Amino acid sequence: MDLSDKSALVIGAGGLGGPALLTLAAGGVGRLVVIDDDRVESSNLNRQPLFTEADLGQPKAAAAAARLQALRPGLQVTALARRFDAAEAVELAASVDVLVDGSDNFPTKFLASDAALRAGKPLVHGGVLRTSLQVLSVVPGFSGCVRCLFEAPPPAGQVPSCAEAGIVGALAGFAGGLMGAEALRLLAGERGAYAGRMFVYEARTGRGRLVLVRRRAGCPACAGTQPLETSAPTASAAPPAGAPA
Amino acid sequence: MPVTILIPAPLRELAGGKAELVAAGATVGEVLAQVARAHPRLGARLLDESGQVRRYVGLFLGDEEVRELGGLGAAVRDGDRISLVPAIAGGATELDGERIARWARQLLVPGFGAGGQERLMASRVRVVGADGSATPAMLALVQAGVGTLWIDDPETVGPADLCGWLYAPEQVGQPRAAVAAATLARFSRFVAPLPYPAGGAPSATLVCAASSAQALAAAEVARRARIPHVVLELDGEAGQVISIPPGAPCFACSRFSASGGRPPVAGALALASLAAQELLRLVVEPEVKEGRRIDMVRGVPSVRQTQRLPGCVCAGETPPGD
Amino acid sequence: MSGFRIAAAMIDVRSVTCPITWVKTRIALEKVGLGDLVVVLLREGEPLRNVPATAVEEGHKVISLQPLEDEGPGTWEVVLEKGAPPPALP
Repeated sequence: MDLSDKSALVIGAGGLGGPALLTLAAGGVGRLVVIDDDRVESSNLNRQPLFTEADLGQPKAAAAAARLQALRPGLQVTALARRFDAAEAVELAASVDVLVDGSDNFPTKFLASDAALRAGKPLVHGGVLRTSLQVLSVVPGFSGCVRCLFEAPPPAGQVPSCAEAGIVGALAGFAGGLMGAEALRLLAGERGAYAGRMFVYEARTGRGRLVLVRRRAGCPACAGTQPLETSAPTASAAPPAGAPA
Repeated sequence: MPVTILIPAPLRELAGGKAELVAAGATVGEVLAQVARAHPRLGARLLDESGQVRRYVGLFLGDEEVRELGGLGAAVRDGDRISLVPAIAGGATELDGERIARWARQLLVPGFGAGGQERLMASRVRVVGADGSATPAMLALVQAGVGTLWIDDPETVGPADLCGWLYAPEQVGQPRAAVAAATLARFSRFVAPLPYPAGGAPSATLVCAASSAQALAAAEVARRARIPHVVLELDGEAGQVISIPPGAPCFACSRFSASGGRPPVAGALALASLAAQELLRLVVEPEVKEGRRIDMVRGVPSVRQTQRLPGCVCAGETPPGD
Repeated sequence: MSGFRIAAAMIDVRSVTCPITWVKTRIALEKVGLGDLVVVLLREGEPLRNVPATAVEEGHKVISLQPLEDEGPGTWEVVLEKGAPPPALP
């Protein structure tokens, strides 16, 4: 299947976004947009496959674009070194064929889902934390969305517990790779393995399961009435499961 | 009045190997001074040149800070028990500040910890087969901090290898092992990726071989060496990851032989990351005894414990320690 | 229990930021025995909010928590007693 006329927006170029970008590039997608407002730090290098030691201190979006283009010289990559926010979310979503959300905080995950619905584009949501991961595709008009699943982000101001931040690179690579694979399926016009069914995997047992995500009656995002909200610039609330990437 | 001083494991070597000492004195200070005279190296850890308890020795009487009770002048009574303090700020473990900063996020995962990281740092992992589909696994191992990564692959980079995470078009035609080693080294200054040296003795193996025959041969070598190994086999958009701790059912028993051997599609490379995850688990948690096979079809994996086939050459083996 | 208890280990995490503050504390706790004490010197603010709370979540006990201004402004001393980890999730 030739995907050279297709495009994808990937939010976050780190532990989830990195593997997803590499998968999309390998799958022959013609154009990628990477949005990430962060810089590369040492603790990222246990799991973020786009960044080398030489990239320490560099803006992630630019370093990601450079690495992708080194691996695939013909690839068009737009690097946006800024936060994905409500002001441009829908416009960005509308400019691509699929969204992949590798962000590491819940307000952004909700914004991504809301914007994808508004723009009528499919979105692949994912998260990884300690020894478990989850992947879900939101297909407008067909499946439930991230708000149908979680209803609301946890209240801001909860200090995240340091113990929640654990993640091994190999598992993030698996999760991000599955997200990229799902995005390729959606771009090829297939239904998607996780459309309306969230895949949850626990690395200790090796067990995976699919959790049905139906459209929740009255979900404002699915109805198109959800106002778009940008997350606060500083690290925000601890996610209930599966957010840090 | 005799007082018992309890010596925790990290300090016993300084106390002549003893777990308990007995000393006499009317105050904490007198007791510690006597201990210091009998065991000068231990004393040097506890008291400074002027005989004062080093600032960073916390003293407690029950749950109460002895600072509140008068410090070294606090009276001791018959039968009181004192335990001792070593400071372990930096340098006492191989995990220095730089490495802790690098691997902080995985050190927080339950079941991982410093012990797991140290096992990784001591490991020598051989990767058999370094084509494009193995690249996510090799990168995951390097980023996790394995001590040595040995890349065993005689082939050159081909156009089919450009689907992965490491090889760029201008490297087509160059030897895969050398290119992979050089590229991987840029991702972590703490790991030494090298082409596999003849006669090398790995402590773990990841098999990503191009053909089933090569995979069977490499797995058999690892089985005989009684090292943990994981085998990745990809077939189009499907594949399997088989993890084999020492003594578990071997690869030949465990594999699903109806693989079509089709070249993997981009999305299937996620299984390579999973293969690395499975191998890291076996290295970090050597107490895992069961083997398991994870099959993935169209993005949904399923797991089952592996079983020995009757008559297999691996029959009759038991895991170490049984 | 009567008698003095002196900590089995002592670490100074004032020069690092979260989550490294907790990572180093966790490593120190890993290395001592059940029931042993670990003394942690840390800065007020995020480390003070995170480290004792996370220790409790992981099954350890906070024996004491106090400012130590004579060691430097904003320095606190936390004493933890190593407990058994909570059971792993299925």
